[in-house]
Amino acid sequence: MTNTAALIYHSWTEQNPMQHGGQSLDRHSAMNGFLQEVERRALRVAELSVGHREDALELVQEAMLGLVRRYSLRPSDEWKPLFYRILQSRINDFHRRRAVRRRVMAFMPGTADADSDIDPMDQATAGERENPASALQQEIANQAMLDAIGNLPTRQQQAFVLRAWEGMSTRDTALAMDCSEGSVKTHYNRALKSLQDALAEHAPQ
Amino acid sequence: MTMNSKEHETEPGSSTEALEALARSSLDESVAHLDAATLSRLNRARQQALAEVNKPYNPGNWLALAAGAFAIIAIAVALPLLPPGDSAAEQDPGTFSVAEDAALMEDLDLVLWMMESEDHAS
Repeated sequence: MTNTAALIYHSWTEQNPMQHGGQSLDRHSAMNGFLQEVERRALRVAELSVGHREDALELVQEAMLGLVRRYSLRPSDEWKPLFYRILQSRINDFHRRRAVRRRVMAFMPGTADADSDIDPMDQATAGERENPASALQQEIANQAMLDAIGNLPTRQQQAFVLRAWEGMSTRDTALAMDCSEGSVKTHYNRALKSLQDALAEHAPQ
Repeated sequence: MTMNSKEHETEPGSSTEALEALARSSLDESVAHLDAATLSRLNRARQQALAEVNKPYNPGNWLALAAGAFAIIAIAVALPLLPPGDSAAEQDPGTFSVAEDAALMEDLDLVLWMMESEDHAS
């Protein structure tokens, strides 16, 4: 459904609430279920990329609002790639703003970037590390994997988490990343190679 | 919308498949034990977003603003390029005012009278 058609449909249903109140409730319920399903993973995706939980929470909230405001009338099977497209766009904006801030700070004497001394992965997983682990070895392996994913270049990281973790098709991943399917495959394969190299150090001898 | 195994880039049983499985389990584990404060924040964010479900998305205001801005810019650009009103006619050598037209007609009458006089004289 195009935006125009969606708007017409929406205005019509607004004028006929009795007939379409049920559909509105269904849409609300479906959207609630979808957001509940993706919110934790989306938080982790954002956190891996930006390195701070508070920032990640804000980005996820913005993505939720963007999806609901603009695409809630779209078929529900389109929501996931659209949601991640919004989230990735917000993440990219975040990185651009941070890069600009760092350049500005570099020109100002006596100031240092407060983020520069913080290991993003330390922050990203600080909460979890306090939880007791069932097996120390497993925890170390998990942490090494998260570190390796967190250290991937942004586009490789996006391709990897959307394909391998979210289980999205190449086509949906391309839609979410706003690139071609060929680019998704390239980023994904490079991510796999980078992870293999990074985790080789942790492999049992 | 889920991943089709046929289009997956890795071979079953390969080391990359094991790597993917490890990545999935690590990532799953990392979101399985989120603290209560984070879960509360996520819930609040979701509820705020859901409050917008029945509000129409109205890009019309932005379109109207954009159209207004475009019109102002177009007028600002076009105004200096427009020819000035009456002065154009005065400056165009092929265009004459009413007074000039009358003078020309008088001159033509004079020329015709002179030509007729010469014919009669000859």
